[in-house]
Amino acid sequence: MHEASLAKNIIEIISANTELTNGVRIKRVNLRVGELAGIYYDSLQFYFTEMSKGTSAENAELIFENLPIVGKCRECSNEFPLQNFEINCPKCGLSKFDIISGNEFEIVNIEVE
Amino acid sequence: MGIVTIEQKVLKKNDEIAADLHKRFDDADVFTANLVSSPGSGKTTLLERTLKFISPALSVGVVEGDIQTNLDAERISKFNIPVTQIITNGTCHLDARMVEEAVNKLPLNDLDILFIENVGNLVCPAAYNLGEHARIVIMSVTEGEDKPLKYPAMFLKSCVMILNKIDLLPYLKFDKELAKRNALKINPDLKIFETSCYNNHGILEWCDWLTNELKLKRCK
Repeated sequence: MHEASLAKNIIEIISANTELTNGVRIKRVNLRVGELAGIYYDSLQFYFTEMSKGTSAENAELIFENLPIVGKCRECSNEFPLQNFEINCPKCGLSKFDIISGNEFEIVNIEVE
Repeated sequence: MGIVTIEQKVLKKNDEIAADLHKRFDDADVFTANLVSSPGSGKTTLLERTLKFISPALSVGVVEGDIQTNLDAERISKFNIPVTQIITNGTCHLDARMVEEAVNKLPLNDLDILFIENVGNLVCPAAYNLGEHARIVIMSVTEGEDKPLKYPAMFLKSCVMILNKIDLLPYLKFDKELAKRNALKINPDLKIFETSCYNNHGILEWCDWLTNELKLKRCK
């Protein structure tokens, strides 16, 4: 369900920005999404399509750049991608690490015509 | 075709309101805890036990979040403390704007601790900062030990995990140590309490932590 509120946020942000470009028609919205952000892409596109009807973003496509979860080892500072949380640092074997990437959810840009 | 650069967080507005709320909590010297969990983990009962232990000595306020009904606010109001119910009407999480409206109805300057009981959901509330000082994830032993691995974002963004309904362990095939290991795998800094609202096991330790956090905050 939270994809509905997120779709609304995206429409509000791009509406505010397209005012600056004379209400042009938006073809694509490029998004950067971390795997920890908990976004279900199809659901977000569904709500976005419904909620953007009658706006400059009607029929626009959401393009997702998927960012992997990246951990940084607390012992040796090695940075490594996490497919799951059951792995240890591939360099030193320690199991304690900080998540340095994977929470992102940003609008990068919009493609207009 | 042209490209308009935006480079903005989708939840920027929420984060801005949350930052304002955080400042208001700091200015009022209130320690704020956001309680998150799946539905049925025992959040409201834990809150009732907590209030029983700390509310005589400390001034506590509560923001209750639910999709429907004000049943939880009715339960909490029996403690004669300020409580505001947010009914989200289907929305699966609390956002900072909802909390801001609720907080406006509370006597913030008179409070020591504010609890925000989020909507029962281990997914969506993880994304929404509410300006809190501490996010507390509650997991009951009737859930699987793999909950932290399945819902990592929530455990990653919390500083405390409360393992609740611990009195039921003799009746369950729940590996408590495995659950803790899984949680610490996601977040090595998690402080873990084991509690039972049936026999009050661990409630005192949890309340001590809360009052100590309040003291630490006020020493800063």
